[in-house]
Amino acid sequence: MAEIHFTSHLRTLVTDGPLSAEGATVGEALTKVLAAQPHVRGYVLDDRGALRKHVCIFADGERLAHDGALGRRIGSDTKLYVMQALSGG
Amino acid sequence: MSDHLLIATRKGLFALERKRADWDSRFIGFEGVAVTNVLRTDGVIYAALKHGHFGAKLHRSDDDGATWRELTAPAFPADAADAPSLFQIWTMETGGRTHLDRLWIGAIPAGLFRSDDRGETWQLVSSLWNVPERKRWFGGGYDAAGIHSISPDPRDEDRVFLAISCGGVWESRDAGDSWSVLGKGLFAPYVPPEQAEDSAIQDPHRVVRCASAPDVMWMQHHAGIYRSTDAGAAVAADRRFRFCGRGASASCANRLVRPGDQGRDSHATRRCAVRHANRRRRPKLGSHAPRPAAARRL
Repeated sequence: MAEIHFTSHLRTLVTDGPLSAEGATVGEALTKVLAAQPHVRGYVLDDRGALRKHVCIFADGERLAHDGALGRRIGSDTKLYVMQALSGG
Repeated sequence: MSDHLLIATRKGLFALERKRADWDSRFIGFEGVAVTNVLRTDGVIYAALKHGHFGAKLHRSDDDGATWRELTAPAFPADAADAPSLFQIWTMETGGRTHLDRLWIGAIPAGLFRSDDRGETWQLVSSLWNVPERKRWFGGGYDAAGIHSISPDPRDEDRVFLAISCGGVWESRDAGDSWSVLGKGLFAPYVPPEQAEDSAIQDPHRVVRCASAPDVMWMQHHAGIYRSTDAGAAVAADRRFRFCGRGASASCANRLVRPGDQGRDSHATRRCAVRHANRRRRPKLGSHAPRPAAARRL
């Protein structure tokens, strides 16, 4: 199962992380985690279910390009980090 | 003026309380987070937040700010035309004394949302979102148009006035079921001259209503300050929006206009009129705009 870590700003909402979820892609794993943590969903995804513009995801140390992040295929032991983008410097 | 003020800032929510010789300030919450609007009504405080990374949120306190609960923020339904994502809660307004459970939210993009259960659930007012004129709305200070002001008429709180930047001023007489664009006489020097009096692309900012004479309204517009004596229902020939600074500088247009008793003795408004009378000979910002005859005394 993928292991999902959240930025410290979100750990006020996700107090029992890191969380684990199965999924063939980043989006599938995140969807499962956020279904169990619905109060966090709107912080990571926007109203349309897209990754928020200023949220970035790392998979096994690689910073994923924003547009393709949710569709990125992952392995069963991938470590994901949900982070704030360095928007604005 | 109230002795208790709530101050929404980019770094959190504060309260000011008037003491005998000074004001005491108190930090309430949301440290480091932009609070885009705050509303106190009927013993409840609503705070609209805009997290830099995590989107627009809505919180409510039932104990004067001691504790807060996050509510589900309004969202554009997936089947709404062009369904965007909520960028910011720009303004909040109560339904008034006859609708204590009703709240209005004006957003960026310019969706109007209504709650009839004190913010627990929200519905997009699709009748406004679907007006054909929306295709011509555009952003002023932001990328998308936004609803800047909401003002229910205290004599009939189903009659609601809106100001959209840049989408003009609108009125519903049936609690949001249908809408009419108002504000004939407003003038936009930032579009080609033949469109300058198009009501549906005007850039009203803050609009406030006189408490003692609800037909009197003041408008902070991109290009000046206007006053209406008929709740905004002006027609072009009547020029019932009285002009005070067409082609005015942005610094004027962004000043606070405070409602007095119908405004005729409003110190702030008279001061604005005098300032523009003194500036008439200075170069205009928009050279294509007609030169105003004079800054009229209000």
